[in-house]
Parts: sequence; C-alpha cells; structure tokens
Amino acid sequence: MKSNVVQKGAYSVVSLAGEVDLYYSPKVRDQILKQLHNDNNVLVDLSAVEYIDSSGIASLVEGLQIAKSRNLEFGLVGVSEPAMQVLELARLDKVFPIYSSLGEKLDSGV
Amino acid sequence: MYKKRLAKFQFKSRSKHLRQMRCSVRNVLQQYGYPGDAIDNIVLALCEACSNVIQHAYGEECSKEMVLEIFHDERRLMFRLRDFATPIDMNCIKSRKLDDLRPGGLGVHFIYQIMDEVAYASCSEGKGNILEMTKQIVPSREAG
Repeated sequence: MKSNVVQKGAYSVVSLAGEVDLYYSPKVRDQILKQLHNDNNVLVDLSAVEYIDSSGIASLVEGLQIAKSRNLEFGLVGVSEPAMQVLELARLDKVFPIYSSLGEKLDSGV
Repeated sequence: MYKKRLAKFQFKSRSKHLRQMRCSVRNVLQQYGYPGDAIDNIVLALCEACSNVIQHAYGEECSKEMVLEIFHDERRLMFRLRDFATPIDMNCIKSRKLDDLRPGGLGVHFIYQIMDEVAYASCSEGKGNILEMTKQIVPSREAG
C-alpha cells in the first residue's frame, strides 16, 4: 500500500493506493487522525484502492466520527469499484459524503 | 462429503502475511474457473476470518500457526480455517448492528454476508478452533 497527504485549499487530501488490510490500516488511521487533530478538513482519495477490508473501513468510520465531533468535514473521493463494493456491503455508502472526484469537490466550494 | 481438497495453506499469524494468503486463494479459485466477482467477495471473507484469528484468538502474537484448506464439490466451496489458540467462546462471535455506527465489528458481518453457511467448532484435542465457511457456487468455466 502507498499513501500520501497533500493540502488542497481547505482540505488535507489523504490518498491511498493498493491494498488496505490489517497490516496497513494502522498507518492509514494515524494519517487521518493526525490531520483531524490538527483541525484540518479531510478528504480520503480511494481512487487507487484495489482492496480494503473491515480494518480499513474502521479507520474511515473513526475519521468520520472524530470529524463530526470537531465540526470538521470528512469525505471520500473517487471511490474505486472494489472499495465501493465493501462500503455497500457494510451499508456505509450512504453514510459517508462521497464525491466522484477531487475536482468535483474542490470546484463545488461546498 | 466434499469431493476434493483444492489447496492447503499454512502460515504464521502475522498481518503482513494476509496479502500473500489473498493472492494464493485468488490464484487457486481462478485456476478452477470460479467467477471473478465471487472470488473478490470470498477473498474478503477469508481475510476477515484470518484477521480475527490474528487479532482475537492469538491476541496479535505473530509466531502462531494458521491453516486454511479449500474443498469443493459440484455445487459448493468449503473453506476450513484452523488455529491453535485457546478455544474461544463461540457466543462472543457476533456481528454488530450496522446502524450502530462505530469503528470495528464489521468483519463478522462480511463473513456472514458473503458465505452461505458459517460454523465454528473447537478442536477435539481441546486446543484450537475451526471455522468452516461454505459458499454455494459453481465454476463459470472449465478449470485451466
């Protein structure tokens, strides 16, 4: 798995690529929570995620909950088909704000 | 009674080995002609089961053994995951309610959603647990 964080306007964009499983999800969790604890709005780019399991989904759920508690924005962008299938299986596809692309979210200004 | 054992994998209880497990299972099921979308779900369920053993049965001890076997007959696949941990209370293995939004607790839900039958047992020797997961499925093409 690869990941990186870049600042885009008012958002920290956490981009994940490859396979997010029990081995890598602690790193994902740390990256997301670090941004939120610095009071940054967070978008997680899942466009290059080939596999994600419940531990990776748990990191996203925790991020969403912490963002809400701190009045920050938290959303998912460019969700890949494998990641969307797992979100649907967990019935979380309607729980997260999901944007088709980073451009769509940033251009909307909402 | 299952006709044939397709594969047997033995690996240590390290989360870094999960990727190799997924790759090995995927290769076997592709080789025997099972459809790709079903393989994706099966691999997810098996990975969740292995993750649960690593995290809960072995408590993150990373040098313990796990054995995954795959059997099939004309209309189903059966996966048997064996660990050598202290027998666990099967009543404690529960999926969380999905409207209870919190991190964790989804792995068991995934297993039950994807598999048609799930059965837990303790090993007769009193050490270890067996999880058997059955999926009703037939290959979409001849084995290659």
